[in-house]
Amino acid sequence: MSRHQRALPPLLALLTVASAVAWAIARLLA
Amino acid sequence: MTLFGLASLPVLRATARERGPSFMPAALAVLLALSGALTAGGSQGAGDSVTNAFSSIFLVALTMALGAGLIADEIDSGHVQLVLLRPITRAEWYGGRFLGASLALTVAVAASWLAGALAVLLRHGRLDLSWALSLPLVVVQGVAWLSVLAALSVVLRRWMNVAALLLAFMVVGFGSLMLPLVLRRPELVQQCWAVVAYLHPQDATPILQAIRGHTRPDLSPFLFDLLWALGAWLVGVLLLNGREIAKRRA
Repeated sequence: MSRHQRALPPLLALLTVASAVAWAIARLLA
Repeated sequence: MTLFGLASLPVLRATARERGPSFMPAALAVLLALSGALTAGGSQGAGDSVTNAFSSIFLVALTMALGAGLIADEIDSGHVQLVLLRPITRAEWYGGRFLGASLALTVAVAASWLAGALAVLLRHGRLDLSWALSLPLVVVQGVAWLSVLAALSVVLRRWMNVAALLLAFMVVGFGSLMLPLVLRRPELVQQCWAVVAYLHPQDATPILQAIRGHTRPDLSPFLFDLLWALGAWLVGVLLLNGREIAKRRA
């Protein structure tokens, strides 16, 4: 129960990485 | 009832209802809407209603009022312990708190944005693309700051998250001006500011200016704000997962 309660949402990690990649690409193109 | 495992919807709804209509945020939201209506249609066009300096003051104050003690209040009161008896994860509870406050902020900004649009339509009769884009840009920027406040609220008590942010703002601002003076190298000021620009969510309004000037906009400030919003959210969840939330008797 305790372990389940502290699960990290995979979608949040995925979105964070995706936004980091998008920002890096925008910086390179600018 | 969760939003893709990111946020608990009942917590989100309860937070938006609790935070939004309380006195300070509601008063600031009304001032923001008035500011939007009164300042729209200046030299900068319709998109200016939520991005001009006057509206920004209310927006910053509103973000602080919504973010003060966002997480800490629930932990200190022991309320979170009761909520977590239900089958929701800590991340879902945190996401509900954060997105609930973000929803209240979005409603206030949208009201100001629409009030500005109404004022411009009455005066000039048309709206432009920069007006349409000003809402998502300003909302994401505000939510990024709210996300930082929420993450700080996991480890700091009551409204100390706002105090810590203001203190950091002053220390970094003062330091980036004083350090080049102390080192007797005034040319370092520019480099200091260039570094400081990455230490916080960035101002996204140059994108609107580029669109008004019909040049290709650099979208990186918007994406950087998005990264801050999501990154601080992730850090906040990790901090909450590592925190003891049980109230102990002294």
